[in-house]
Amino acid sequence: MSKKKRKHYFREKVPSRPCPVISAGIEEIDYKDIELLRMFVTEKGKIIPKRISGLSAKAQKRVTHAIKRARNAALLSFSEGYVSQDEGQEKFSNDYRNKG
Amino acid sequence: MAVKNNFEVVMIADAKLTDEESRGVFEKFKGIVKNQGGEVKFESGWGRRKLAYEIDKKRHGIYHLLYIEGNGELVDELERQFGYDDNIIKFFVIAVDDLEKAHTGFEALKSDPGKNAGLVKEAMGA
Repeated sequence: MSKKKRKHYFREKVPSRPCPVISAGIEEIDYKDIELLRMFVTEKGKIIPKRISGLSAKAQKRVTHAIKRARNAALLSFSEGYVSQDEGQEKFSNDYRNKG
Repeated sequence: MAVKNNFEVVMIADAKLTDEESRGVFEKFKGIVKNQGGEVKFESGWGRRKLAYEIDKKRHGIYHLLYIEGNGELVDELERQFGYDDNIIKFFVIAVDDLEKAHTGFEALKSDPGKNAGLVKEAMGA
């Protein structure tokens, strides 16, 4: 069998984009900062992968760590991601105000 | 000899409690920290919040954070006591490097929750 010579295609170079979190100058990501973390979870609550979120490896690790902590603190849902504060207040207004 | 470490304690109390009652519960745990030889450096409340998911059929909780200095035995005892108290629906303790930085960072976050998100959005758009 003769070796087929493979054709080489040259991919157009995609301009590299800087990591949004690092370039915004955020050093530490707090798990309580849900407004930031909600940008990196889907509607179903999944963590958006690095290749789509465009974060650097360093930032992605920090974000992932913070999201997992936020889930534990009931700040982010495991299955629904971000849960708005206001909407719920009206919806379930009766279940805690019976005692003032 | 005693090793001192820094911890952030997150307590979520039942939202059925009034503000005074919940303060009493949080004071109790502050007392436990002091009795065990620890020190409460800072504390901050986060008030009533809607939980992202139900915990023991409860949809709301009162968040309170303590920034403490102490050793591992203190944390063990604290976690044991949390388990006994029915008013606490969720708790956890995490290690932090710098208590003051963590505390001021959280206070800044409370006063302007969307600040970091805005910065990142700006960086994404640019």
